Amino acid sequence: MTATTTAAGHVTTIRHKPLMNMRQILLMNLGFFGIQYSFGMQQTAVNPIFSFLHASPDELPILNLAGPVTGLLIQPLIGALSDRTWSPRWGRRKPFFLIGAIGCSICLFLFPFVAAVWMAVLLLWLLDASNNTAMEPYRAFIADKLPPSQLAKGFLAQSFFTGFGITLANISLFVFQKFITGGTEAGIPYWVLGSFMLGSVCSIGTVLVSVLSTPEIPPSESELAEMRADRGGFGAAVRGIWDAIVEMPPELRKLALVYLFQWYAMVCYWQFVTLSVAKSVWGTTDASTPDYARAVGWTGLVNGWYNIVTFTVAFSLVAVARRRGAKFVHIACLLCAAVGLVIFPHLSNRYLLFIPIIGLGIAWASIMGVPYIMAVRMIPSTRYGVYMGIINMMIVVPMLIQTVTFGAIYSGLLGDDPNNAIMFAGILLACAAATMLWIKEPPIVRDVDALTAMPAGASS
Amino acid sequence: MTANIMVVVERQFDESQKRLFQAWTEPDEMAQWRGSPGWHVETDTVTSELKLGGRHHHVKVLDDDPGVRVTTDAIFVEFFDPDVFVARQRITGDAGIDPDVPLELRVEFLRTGREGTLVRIIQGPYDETVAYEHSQGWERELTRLQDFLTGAGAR
Repeated sequence: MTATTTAAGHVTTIRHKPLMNMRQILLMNLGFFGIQYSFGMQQTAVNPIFSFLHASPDELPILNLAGPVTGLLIQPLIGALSDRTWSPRWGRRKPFFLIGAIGCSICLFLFPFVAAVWMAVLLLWLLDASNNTAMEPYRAFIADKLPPSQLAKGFLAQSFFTGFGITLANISLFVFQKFITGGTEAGIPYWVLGSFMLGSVCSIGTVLVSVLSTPEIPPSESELAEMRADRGGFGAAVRGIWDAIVEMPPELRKLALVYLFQWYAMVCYWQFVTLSVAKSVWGTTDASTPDYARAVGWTGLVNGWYNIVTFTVAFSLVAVARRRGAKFVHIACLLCAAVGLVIFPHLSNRYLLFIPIIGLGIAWASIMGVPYIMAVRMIPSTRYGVYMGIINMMIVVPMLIQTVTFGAIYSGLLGDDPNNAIMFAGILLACAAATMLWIKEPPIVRDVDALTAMPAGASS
Repeated sequence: MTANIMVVVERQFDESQKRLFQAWTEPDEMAQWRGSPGWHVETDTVTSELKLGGRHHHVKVLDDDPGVRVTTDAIFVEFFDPDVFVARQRITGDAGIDPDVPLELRVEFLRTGREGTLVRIIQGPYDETVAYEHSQGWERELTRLQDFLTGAGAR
């Protein structure tokens, strides 16, 4: 890659991107599996640990504050820093997701040994910071490495590994519970410990495979010189974030509105699905009853199932996105989820729940991949890192808004009914789909593999 | 050697998407700036049907030796004024390009938040041994484009 500056102050950037085969794309993204396994453990197993340590249910939201706060602060900073980084040995993005993966591994290893809530909270903050440090540059890594015609494959490979990693995290909990007995002195069962240990190995192991198998594209001497001249550390990174927000392409700003609806909706779903299942299937919302415990277990299966759908459909979306455009795919997927979530709380047969939730699994595959296909076509390649961080801000800000506002909506508008909360999430996803219509998608990028016919008229 | 390298060249311009798209596609305009220094486009060879499926033809000639000619024949497989065009190309007369292997040229014009336009050229697949030379060529052509737009480099 080279970069030269014109008299007008504009930089010309040149990159040579080898086309990658599917095996290379999967290897490059394998580390995302470990990172998402770690996220899966964070989503599914950390709250039970709080409960094992006698935290009360009303304390759970504040104990989980780490997620949105670290995402908001860390991802844009890591992105801006990685844009300015190059190490001949480790590359540009890889040092960050390697450090993040090491942090994840250590935190996952230590988590089951906590003996008090404050220790679990501290580790959750460290785990989430590590997850964010690892995940953000991974998005930019795809954009750095792949030519536009292969970006869809790259991002949807990440969707595939998102579904796969979270599913295996959940399955490990389910399986270890069947075979492992006993627990720590603090009351944490050994089957939980087993899942965390597996996560610890997966996290660092898969990232190492990606790091060792996939070289980064090196910068030229001129770009290196520019990076050296641009050393400003933390202050420069913050300025870079601010400049990127000011200069953000208009279509990317519109994506923020789509994200407001879709991520607000996803948090509503995650928070209220268990209560909804308990109410609609078992007729209870009393967390102390055995039926509620059954609902918790069943919800785990439902969530596991939609993640299976996610990794099953992820690559099919590549083909559709290539033919019909990423915008169309995302709208269609969001509408599938909207329909599914409106139907979901009306079902009292627990087995039937697996049908409408397929819609959410399809949407989840799209949410984790498709918007990035569009986003990287709207931004300069020299700033993939910082913009990926800003896109993550578009995710965590709705989460924070949901945390602050949804309590009042739940009581005032939805009648304290968890089934209404799930339908509300469905309606918000439909709003996200409608808002997508406002975005003018850069026209479809055809796969270079489709280049077969020769233009006529040449005289050789 | 297999041609599998995509060349990606980007530069920000202060002009609008519309202006840049026009400079890239209108035959009279593109003939005035296309080609690396030392080359020029033969104005009367340029034909361009500016629509999806439209054909494009131009010949570049070495200034010092008019016998050295590189011919480009293309079909617009995407044409969205002023956002992007994609041309499937057959290039003959360039020693580094196999005329029997089609190239794809994709030029994106992306509006940025400060009234500027990011031009992104993606072309390939190239053989690794010639990718560098061609990307440098694009860089020089973009400088010519800038000169043309500011009135400094029109032929």
